[in-house]
Amino acid sequence: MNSLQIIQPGFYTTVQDAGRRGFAHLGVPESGAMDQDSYRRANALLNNQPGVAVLECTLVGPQIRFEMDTAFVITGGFTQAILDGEPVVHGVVAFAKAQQILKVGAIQSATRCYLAFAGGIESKLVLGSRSMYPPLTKFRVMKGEELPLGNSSFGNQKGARLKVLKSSIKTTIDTIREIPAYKGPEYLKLNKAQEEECLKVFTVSKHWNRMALQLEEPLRNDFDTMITAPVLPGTVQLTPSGTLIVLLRDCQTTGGYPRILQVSEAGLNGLSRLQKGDQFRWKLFI
Amino acid sequence: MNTFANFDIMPLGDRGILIRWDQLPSDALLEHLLWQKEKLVSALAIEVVHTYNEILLKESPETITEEIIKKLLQKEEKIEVPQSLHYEIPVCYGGEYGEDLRAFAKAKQCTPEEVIGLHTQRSYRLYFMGFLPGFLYLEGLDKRLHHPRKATPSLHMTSGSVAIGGAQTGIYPQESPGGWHCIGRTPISLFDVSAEEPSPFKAGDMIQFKAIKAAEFSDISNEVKAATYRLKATPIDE
Repeated sequence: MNSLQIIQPGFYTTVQDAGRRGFAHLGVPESGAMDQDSYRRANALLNNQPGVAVLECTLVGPQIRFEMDTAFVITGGFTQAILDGEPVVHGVVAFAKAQQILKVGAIQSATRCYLAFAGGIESKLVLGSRSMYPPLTKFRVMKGEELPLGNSSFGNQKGARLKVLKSSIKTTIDTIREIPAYKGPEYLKLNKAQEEECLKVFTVSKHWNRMALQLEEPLRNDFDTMITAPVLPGTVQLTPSGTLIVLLRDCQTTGGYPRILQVSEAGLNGLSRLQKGDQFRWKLFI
Repeated sequence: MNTFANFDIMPLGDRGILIRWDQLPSDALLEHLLWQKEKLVSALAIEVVHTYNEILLKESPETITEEIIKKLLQKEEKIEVPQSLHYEIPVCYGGEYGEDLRAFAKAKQCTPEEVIGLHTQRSYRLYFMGFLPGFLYLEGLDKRLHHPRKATPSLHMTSGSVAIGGAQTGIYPQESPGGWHCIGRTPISLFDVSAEEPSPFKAGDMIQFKAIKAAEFSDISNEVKAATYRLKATPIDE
């Protein structure tokens, strides 16, 4: 069976797939690749079945050794990746020979990149998904760990190969971008001043992870507390201090703060590319 | 006539639809939500979650119209809702199992035994799960045990910690930080990812805590590890 070995895990590398569905009623988060767009693109380039697992790399990528000849591709944030001395082109399928070592460096232009392999990673399924989410699984991939890969006929039949798509992520970061969002269930309770505050520029604070990102600029808040209600990845919560918390893929299933906005699926993918200091505006759907 | 006839349907962005009853939490509303949920799941075969007064359909508003949902909610259909059960959960109170019990009792100006008495006397209704995998939202804590959360949360609440925060009591299903006062610990597993049903409980069930000694705690722990432990459950007569 094909596999790969983690020589260095990088800053924060996890196995992710399309997410864990069907267990929200037990309080289980969705999880899954933060940037589903880049994740799907990676699998499509390799003719993988939709939903197979990949590596999600954060800020700095891992070093891995291939057990057998394996096709792979990197999508998402740009990164300097070297396969035994040869640079790997972003968004283009590359072929590694058995025992070759891939070094994925610092990620530029986005927070995360995706490293997908022909056949996909076949780590243990937990509640129908391979997405890492502690305490259901371990935190992240570890030094020395072996990850099994699934079977793939990719490369044997060139005709099946998709044409290479140019990555949609730009090499430079826009200083201010727009994240599409819908009005949330408690948006109606905002007054005019608060509504206007929603339209200003927001900055991602140092508090960001797979569960949520907190924004620097607070809103004035005089809301009463509310009883616990359902939330989803993309729900924007207005906390008592006025700080906005944007829930992301690993978020809880319920929350007790007013849900003033709901980021669109495309917006969630966009947000996953931001980190501390990045600025954006909400683009509100009417 | 029907106290729950009024509800609002609204999209939650492009990935969910919320149904809200503008009502305070109650057992009657819970039963109504469980019935509505059952109808929605069986007709639409989608993922549905509920809280105190809302139901969330995890589906794009573009695929299911408000009309379809409204029709289903208004349908007077007799549908089998899973029978609610009454569970007894063993808890070892105080000492190393509930390190905040003494301080909690002192703050409430009573003895640790009185706290245990009040905590084990009632059955709590499980409204829904959320917060952490397998965390139970339980209703019915005696007013005399209501107590504000800690100003500074503890960094490590041991898995199985039985705690009180505000007007709620609950069990930490996994080790996590927590701002509630830990008064005891249960040896049972609240969430087992390898089990077909990871949580033994479901919304609508009743939970009652039973005080056990340290020796019994360790016996049950061993049985849980050996997967031979069975929770005591009895059907609730409606």
